[in-house]
Amino acid sequence: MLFFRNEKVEVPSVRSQANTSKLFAQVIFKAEKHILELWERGDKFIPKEGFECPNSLSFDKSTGRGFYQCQPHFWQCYWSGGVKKSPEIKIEVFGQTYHIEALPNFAPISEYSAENRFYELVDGENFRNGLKVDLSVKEFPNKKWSVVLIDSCRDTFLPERIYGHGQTPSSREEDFIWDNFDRKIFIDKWYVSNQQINDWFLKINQGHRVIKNKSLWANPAELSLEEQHLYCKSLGKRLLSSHLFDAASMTPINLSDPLNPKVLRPQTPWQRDISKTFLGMARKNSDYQLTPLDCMLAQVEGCADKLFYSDSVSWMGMNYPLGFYPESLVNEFEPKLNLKRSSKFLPAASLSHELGKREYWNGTQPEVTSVAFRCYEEVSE
Amino acid sequence: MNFIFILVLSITSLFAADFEHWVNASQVVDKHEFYKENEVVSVPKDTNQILFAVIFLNTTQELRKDCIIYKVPGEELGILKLKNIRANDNCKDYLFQKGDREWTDLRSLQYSLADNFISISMTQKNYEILRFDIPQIKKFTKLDPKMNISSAEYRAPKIIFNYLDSNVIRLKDGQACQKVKEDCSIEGTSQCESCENGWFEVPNGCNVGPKYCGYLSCGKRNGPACRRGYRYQLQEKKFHCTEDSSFAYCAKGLKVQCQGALAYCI
Repeated sequence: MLFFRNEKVEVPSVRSQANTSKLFAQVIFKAEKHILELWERGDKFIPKEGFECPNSLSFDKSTGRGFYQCQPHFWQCYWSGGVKKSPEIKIEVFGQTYHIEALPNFAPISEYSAENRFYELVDGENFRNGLKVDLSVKEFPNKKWSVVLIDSCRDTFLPERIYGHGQTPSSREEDFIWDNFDRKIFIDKWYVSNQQINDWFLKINQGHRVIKNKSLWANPAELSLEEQHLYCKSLGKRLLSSHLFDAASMTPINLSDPLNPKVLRPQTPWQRDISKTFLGMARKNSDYQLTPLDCMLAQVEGCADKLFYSDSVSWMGMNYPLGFYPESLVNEFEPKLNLKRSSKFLPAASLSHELGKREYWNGTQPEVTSVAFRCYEEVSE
Repeated sequence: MNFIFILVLSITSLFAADFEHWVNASQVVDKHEFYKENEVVSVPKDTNQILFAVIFLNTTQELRKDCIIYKVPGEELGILKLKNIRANDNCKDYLFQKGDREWTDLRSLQYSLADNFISISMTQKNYEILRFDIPQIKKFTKLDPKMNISSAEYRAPKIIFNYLDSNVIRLKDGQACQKVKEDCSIEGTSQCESCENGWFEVPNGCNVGPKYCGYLSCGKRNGPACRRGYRYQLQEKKFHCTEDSSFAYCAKGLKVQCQGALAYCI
């Protein structure tokens, strides 16, 4: 019996090991907020001078911070030590500090670099393109936990209300209104980027089409109309429709009155009457000089190239409603009017810079003025 | 000294197989009224006590319940029993039955249901300690969609702690993923979220129309009409295609034609 008792002295060490496992899980749970911040708000971690990640991502001041949010390549860059020398996340649990790291446990993607990846894109029952990552805690060697981070930055909800389509109608009969009550519609905040279609190319075994020049990754993807449809479909989404684009870009008069059937059609996202905006002024005055603020609202000819800046955001969170790039849209009413032509390729005085105005696009990418696109989806319940 | 450890760390590899599924527990129920967290369960001796029960979805998406029953040591050593039953059944009815899994010859047992963990620690006859710590993943509750919420976070938690590598089965194009009768009653639940390439709806004047996997652009000739909604008219009325097809629309130059309650364009 005494022998047993002597042996039982070791019992606390058993418990401490058991508790170590529990503590490891507790540390990971506690780190949730910090991990999410790094993933969703990666831009907050970028120092003023930028970062150095020649093997994963290039830093460019003309690319806004939105590009680094839910950005797999930024995750790769951060954990490779390109943003700061010690990327570990410090967490305090029960008065002690623990150091969390992501592990480079995933196979390299040769189209990007020969280095192991800190993530892998995976699909699940209720998500697509999730970022699978292996987390470890320095203080608990040989333990890891695989988690998946979902892409919560891509799209945004279109509130349920009555909307209009097209420009101000000339008669009541032509006033087309519709509603999305009981529908859960989500619209991409940005154009689909080269970086995003690279992942698609890899998925459909067309690695040779991957755009390797990292400085082009934030640019809108240049796909034919047919491939734009295919890309969106591959994510269970659809190419954006013109009536959804109008709903997302035309600010309602009264946000708190979703059942108001009087739907005005503002000419710009930020001002109902275009004549009071820089676009209207430019129409009247051929010598109009663009200001930096003008270019933030709508990038037109003469503005510096800037993408993923949220200065142009619409009332519900969609960027680039006017200016920037021509955008491909499905028009269910007039299928041939499938292009928002307002873009940085047209001078500020162009009459195309107006919400609800659309023209025809034949579906092939022009040589000079590339046509951007974005997707939307409706969640079925 | 050979201690046996079955510790819960990684969802995929380090779980005790007997309890692995508890990570996805939806509820812990039937908690014992008197036993306290981490205190040795020692009375009433030689009786069978339900410590707690865990409700979870099994691999075939059936709601099941694991009853955790402990025969408190007294004249004989203790036994911990795990009895898997239907979620609606009562653990009490299985109190004296053999467990689906049993740990016998136990000198003592402590358990805890606190701090997002289910922990059980058993001292065996030879004084070896067997301990399980099963983390409880926060349950995902769907939020009402509001401004700035993304589709991803509407569907799933932002961080998934219990991801298991598995082939996701998606429905092929053309399959019906939501069936709706002419009287607007819905058959079963929507499977459309599992469609490989999204889904489309054929509007029928109901809040929800029948849906199919795949992509078929609405509003075109000989295709389904587009859904226009039903509240924009601000009228309390029932729509039926043959009487009032204003819940749907077609491209300019085409008309809505009804096939039963379903709206198509010609």
